[in-house]
Amino acid sequence: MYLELVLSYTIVLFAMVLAVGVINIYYFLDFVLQKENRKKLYQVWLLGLFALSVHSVGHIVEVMLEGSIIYSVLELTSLSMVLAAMAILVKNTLTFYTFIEIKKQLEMAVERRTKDLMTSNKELGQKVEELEKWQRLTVGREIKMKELKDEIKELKEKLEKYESQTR
Amino acid sequence: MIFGAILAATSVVTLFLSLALLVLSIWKREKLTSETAWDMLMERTSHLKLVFILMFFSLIIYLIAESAELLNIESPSAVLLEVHEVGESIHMIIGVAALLAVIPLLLIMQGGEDVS
Repeated sequence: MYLELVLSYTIVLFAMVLAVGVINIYYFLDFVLQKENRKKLYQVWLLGLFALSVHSVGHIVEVMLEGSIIYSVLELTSLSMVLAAMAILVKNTLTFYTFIEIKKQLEMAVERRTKDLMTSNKELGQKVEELEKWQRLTVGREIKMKELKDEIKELKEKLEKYESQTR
Repeated sequence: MIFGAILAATSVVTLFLSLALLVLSIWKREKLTSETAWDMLMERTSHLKLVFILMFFSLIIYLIAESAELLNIESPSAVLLEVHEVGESIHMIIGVAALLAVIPLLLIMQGGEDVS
């Protein structure tokens, strides 16, 4: 009776894990298709096959020796193995899902930073343009002032020369 | 009684098939875990999805059958016993179908190169 109770609880747990697996089937398949996970999936595959073998023996015992305790033990063993395999799959699926989420967040952050950089680059370009405009204006003015100064100096010299001649 | 016989027969087939696949998987470990094998597997994703669906379907039927068995312990009923027997038989038949569907995939993956 105790073993049957444990078996029923294991089945409930198994049903819950299965429900999580079915809900996450999309991500699960995405995870399965990743090359990096092939060795972990190979382990899951071996565990599953071993569990299936034990499960088959359990069914044979169930038919041959009806009501035998060996059947419950074998069922518990196979269910534990399937649960372990499913736990590996769910854990890796969640890890993969987290990785995808982090990757998405990083991509968004990079995009936002690039946009900020482009805006500041544009602003800097405008400022450089303004400064160049000012520089052109001020340099032109300086040249003009220098020309005027030279002209004044020349005129002064001419005036001095003229004054000395008239004396 | 007939479902018991079906269950026993499918269980024997499943046992031999799973043991054979287990031996093959361990023996060809390097080939099955190689990148080339994975590339070949990825080309047949629809087939892989079919195997997954069969496996999940088989597991769900198994859960229904086991639930019927547990309910039968609580309150014995011929209908629940029948549901249990029929469910287990269908579960094993679908299990055999899933295992048979895996074989072509494993054969395709055998084309992969050894990783040393």
